[in-house]
Amino acid sequence: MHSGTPNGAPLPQGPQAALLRFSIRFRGIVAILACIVLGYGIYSLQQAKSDVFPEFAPPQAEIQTEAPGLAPEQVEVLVTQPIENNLNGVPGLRMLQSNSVQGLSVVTVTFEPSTNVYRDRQLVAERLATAAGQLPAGVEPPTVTPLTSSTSIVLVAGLTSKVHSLMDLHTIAQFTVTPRLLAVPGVAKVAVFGGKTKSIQIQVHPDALKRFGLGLEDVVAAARHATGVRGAGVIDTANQRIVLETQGQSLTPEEISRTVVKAGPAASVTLGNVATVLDAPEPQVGAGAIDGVPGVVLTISEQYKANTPEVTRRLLAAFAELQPTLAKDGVALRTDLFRPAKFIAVATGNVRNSLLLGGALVIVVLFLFLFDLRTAAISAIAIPLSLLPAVSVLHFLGITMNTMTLGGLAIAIGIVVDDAVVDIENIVRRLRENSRLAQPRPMARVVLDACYEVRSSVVYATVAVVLVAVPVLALPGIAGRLFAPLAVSYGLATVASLVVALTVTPAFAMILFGRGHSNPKDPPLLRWSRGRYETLLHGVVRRPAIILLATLVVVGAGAALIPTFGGTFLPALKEGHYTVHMTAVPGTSVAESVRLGKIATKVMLSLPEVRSVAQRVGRAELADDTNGTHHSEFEVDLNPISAEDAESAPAKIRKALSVIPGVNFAINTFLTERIEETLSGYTSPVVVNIFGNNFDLLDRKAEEVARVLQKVSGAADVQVESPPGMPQLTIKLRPRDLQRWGLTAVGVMDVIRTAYQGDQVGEVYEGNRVFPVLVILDKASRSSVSDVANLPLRSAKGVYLRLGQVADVHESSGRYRIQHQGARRLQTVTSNVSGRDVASFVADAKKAIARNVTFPSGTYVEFRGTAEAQKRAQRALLLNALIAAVGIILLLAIITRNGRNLVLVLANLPFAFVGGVAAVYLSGGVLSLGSMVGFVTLFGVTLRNSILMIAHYRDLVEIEGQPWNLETAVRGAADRLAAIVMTSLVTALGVLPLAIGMREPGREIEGPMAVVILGGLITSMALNLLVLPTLALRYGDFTRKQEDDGLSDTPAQADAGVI
Amino acid sequence: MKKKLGGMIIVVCLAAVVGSAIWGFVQARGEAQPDDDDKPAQTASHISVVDGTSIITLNENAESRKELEVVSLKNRLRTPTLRAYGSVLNLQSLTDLADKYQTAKANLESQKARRDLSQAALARARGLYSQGLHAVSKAQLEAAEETALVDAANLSAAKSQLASLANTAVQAWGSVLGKAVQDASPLLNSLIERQTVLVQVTLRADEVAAKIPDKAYLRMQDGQRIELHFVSPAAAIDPQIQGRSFFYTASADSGLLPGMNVVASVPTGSATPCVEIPAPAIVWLKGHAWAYFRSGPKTFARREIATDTPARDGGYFVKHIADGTQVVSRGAQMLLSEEFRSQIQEEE
Repeated sequence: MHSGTPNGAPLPQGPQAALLRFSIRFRGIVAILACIVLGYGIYSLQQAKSDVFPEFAPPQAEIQTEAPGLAPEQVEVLVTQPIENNLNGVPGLRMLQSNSVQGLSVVTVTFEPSTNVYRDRQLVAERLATAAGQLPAGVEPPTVTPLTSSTSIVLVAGLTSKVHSLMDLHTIAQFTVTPRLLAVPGVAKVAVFGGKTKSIQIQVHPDALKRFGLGLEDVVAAARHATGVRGAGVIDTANQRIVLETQGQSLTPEEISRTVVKAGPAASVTLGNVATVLDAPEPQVGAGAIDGVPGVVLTISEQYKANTPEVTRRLLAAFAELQPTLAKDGVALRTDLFRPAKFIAVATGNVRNSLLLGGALVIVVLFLFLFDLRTAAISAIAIPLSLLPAVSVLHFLGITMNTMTLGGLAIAIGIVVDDAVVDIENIVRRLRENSRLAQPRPMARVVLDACYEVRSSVVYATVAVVLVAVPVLALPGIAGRLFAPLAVSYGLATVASLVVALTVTPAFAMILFGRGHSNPKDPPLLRWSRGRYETLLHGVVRRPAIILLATLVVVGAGAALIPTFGGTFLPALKEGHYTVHMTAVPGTSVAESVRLGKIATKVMLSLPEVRSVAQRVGRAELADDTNGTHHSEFEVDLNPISAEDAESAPAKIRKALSVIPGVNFAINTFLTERIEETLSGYTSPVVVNIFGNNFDLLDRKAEEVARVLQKVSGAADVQVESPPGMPQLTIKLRPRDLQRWGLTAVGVMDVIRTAYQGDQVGEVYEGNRVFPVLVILDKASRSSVSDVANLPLRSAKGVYLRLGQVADVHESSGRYRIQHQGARRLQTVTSNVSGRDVASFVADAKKAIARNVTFPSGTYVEFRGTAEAQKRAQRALLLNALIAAVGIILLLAIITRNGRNLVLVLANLPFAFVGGVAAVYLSGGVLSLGSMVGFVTLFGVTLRNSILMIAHYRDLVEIEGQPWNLETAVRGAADRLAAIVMTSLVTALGVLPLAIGMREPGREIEGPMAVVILGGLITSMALNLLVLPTLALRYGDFTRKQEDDGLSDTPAQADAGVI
Repeated sequence: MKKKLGGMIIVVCLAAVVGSAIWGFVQARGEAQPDDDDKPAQTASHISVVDGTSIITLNENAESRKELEVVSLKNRLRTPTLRAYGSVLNLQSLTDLADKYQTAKANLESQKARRDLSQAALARARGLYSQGLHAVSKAQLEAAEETALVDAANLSAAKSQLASLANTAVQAWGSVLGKAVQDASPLLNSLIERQTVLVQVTLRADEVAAKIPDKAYLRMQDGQRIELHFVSPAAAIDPQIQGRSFFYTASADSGLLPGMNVVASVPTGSATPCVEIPAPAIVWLKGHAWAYFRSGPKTFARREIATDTPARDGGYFVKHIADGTQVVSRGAQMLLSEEFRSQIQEEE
């Protein structure tokens, strides 16, 4: 053994030394503080909100405007445009998108991520007040849908009944269940799909109108009178104020049917004479079915930044309260259709287990290497002491505990324990050396010197490691929002570990080794491996050419692999739950969608993996989805099954569903879908937008683009969004004929709307339940296409006409929806990519479109979708990585203080990556953002070890006065062996459970990251232990130099001054 | 010894780390391939176009072939009918008119008799006076002449009154009923005696019957079908409806009472064989109505159907379709959707 610390060295100075001295002197206080921090950390952990992902959606406001009866084109021009015009130019606006479908306008305003979502929504609400006045009569006021969390849905429940009608079921859902659920803290909204909305309908028989000489407008007027509510005022007496209440409003269908429409000489004509008044469902916009049984599906959304498991728990408690009443009423309640909290529990549980397992493995390794329980304990205590303060700060910042933050902590395990290990390893080594001295120095001094010796490496390396996380933190867009919490938790834990290494570790070392370090010998494993390593290194160091060549070959091979990699934005998440989309041609009725859904449900339920299937058809008021009735979503929940079965489940479901004709199915996991929707609004990875003003031109160009895309290799399912083809009946009024009969266009259109859409004339109440009263044509008269032209109109002179006499009624086809982006019309072509990666496909597609499609002025094309986001994210990552790299190089320059050594460290870095590259290749050759983050971490770990090695060499030469030769190189490397092997193993073992469990739910993102780190650490270790000493000996520059800056006596002080 | 143990431990440790890492990679390798989960499956059918007709061939395992329902069509003779509005007329004015006419007619007879008598008296007086027998004084002759003149004038007044009533009857009730009033025909008697009732049937304003049918039908609210017999075109139309109007009689036993407004169907043209395509079989596409006809055990062809003859409940009567042709009566929209599946856009 070589003796280490020179005796009688001056007491270290500077802030770091002061901190170390304080910690060693007041070790008891440090220990108590550490306990307090631990305790508070545990408290924070219990208080922490959990979610699967951080809030990844940008600040958004969605404005839904119900425009009953308006066709998509009318909605676009009359409703969407005024709203868009008012909203355009709102401060902080990033994107304005809209969809106009039959009877509904949806405008989505996306704000800059830096803005405050509440202020944004306030601005939107202010602008909407103006827009509301510009909307045509009959259109309901625009509503901003409640603010929900990024994932929105917190629970899906279902109601079915064998005794109640669908209308009763909807009434129960609307008036009994929904109010209770909305009262649960954290619930933003409840969308009621399916069932039938009860209304009292005055169903007019057109023939009866003629017989009694009445017009539809007479019925509407009479019905308005029948159901009107009037206040009556008050009487003020000398003593009291007495409130008047008028009663007599018709509340039941019978009462309404007795309303007089026309008082005749002999008898009066009542509503009952010309119409059937009854409880009937409003025209449906959606439907629901649970396991194939028609019923009501409730999708419950949670508030922004709500605690999903907590809200779920409260909701289940609310359901438990409702359950007995509902059961008594003959209503079956299902609350297990979909609960994201289940996945959160599994995912965070899995990551937590990985963390615990990783922690345990780390302790085992520490014990093996240090062969001393106390040493292992001091290193191990650094783990909770670094992670728990990070948790506290995250909690304070309002960041939830999710797979990302937990992942950040998991990666940090390796790093945080590193600091402690480097520290403690040096302390123990120095203490051992000290105990072998004839006159051992005071223990506190040995500990202080030992800590001070490695502190520059610890501090600089930690700063470098934190810097490495900066590019991830600065990722733009959704990627940034997803991964930033990972970087934050990682950075926090790392910084905490630095503080621990400078305070707690020396303090605890003093406390635990205070009674003397009993074993002056190196631990057996260390001794054995050191001997082996020195022999090996001696052999290796003599052959720098071979090492250099081997390094170049390996790096070259690794570099050659990179171009074969594909990229995906996010891997598929294994939630044990799938959202299946079923789409038929636009115009498919609710009944047919329900019928097809029943077939699909039967098929899916026949699979052993599937536990429950809930179907939602079309849309519901205030729901997130604004689909037409041709579109259904199924919540497919799986039985608890193994990870392998869960992996094969989507393929099995897809295969089973493929036998159903007439509908397209798309299967996605809930979270993947939410993320992809937030990115592009579409679930396809490639989205091509074509902007312009002329619909026909847009359609033509979209067709051309689709044709070109189809020819690009790898294109699959190329589709033009919203192709024309929704069946439509056009009623074109003839002005001359209107004039001849003395009719007005608006009057005729009112009659048409009343007849087919229904005109709400009032409300009736039944207890606290309020139902609308509608005037509409009877069912038989409005179900036939050929009867529309026979709709009776009454002219000013009382003459009855058919609608066909004043209008051309002809069948045609219309657009199902009209989209805007940035208040411009757009047509969209989407494509999936199979057999190649998205990024290269997009590059090829762009070239092909530029070559083959010409766009007239005012029309242009744009690529969006996950491909674009991924490219943006990668570009940003690259740029930020460059900035961070400059920072790190500057740091390195401070440590190495020598150009050659700096180049030596930098030149060796690629070697560390080779392992990561090989790992990516072995695990499928796909670069996801997770694996990119892995590389960044790998970089940090390698860098730290290289810095430590170079710094140690420098210390050996400059402080201990060793000559720079083979012996010194081998000895220095052997000194660092324990630290390098330990830190590498510790990091590797910390993430090992994540890598092995990368198939388990919740580790889909961290898994690839862990695999990269694991693979990279193997080469990184080889680099630091074999390549770096060899090359350092050959090319390194550690000759002792005179300090010529004249600012300090020792390099140590120069270092200290920087921090 | 200890050295060996340490060596063993490190070897085992490293082997475990490396081994588990490799195991992890191998396990993960399969799954990390770019997933094609978003790719919709498309295998349920095959679409072909033969002579401009789209034909869907469903695959053997297409689950919902079981869900499709077809009905066999059968031709029936069907007479095209028009929907019309009927009102059972109050015949008081007709009865009054008939009464008046009969009174006037009786009056005419009596006037005629009186004139004949006074003519005869005048002739006799003239004869006696001319024989100069002084059996009749000049004054008496002049009185007889006067009576004869008055009676002749009365007769002509009665005649014109009758003619006027006849005109009124024709004006108010049309030539057939007008004539019936003049003739006091059994038609009139049965109406007046309430054995039959008179129904004015008015077509919709812009509808024209090719020929005026002898029979029309009423459907009562209780489903009873009442046969109407053509009488004549009506003398005036219903000003509120403005269509062509006809008189029909119906048996009074049917329960029709004056003042009732009823809906009538008027057959026009001759009966031709046609099939009824039920409403659930019809899909609308590009402005036309279509139905899917079975063209083989697994194949279905989409053909356009004519929509000029609507049936009740949204279906259509279609000519030139062979008996036994099978039309898809449940699942038509599913087939349509299948045909255009390649254009369906996955959406949110």
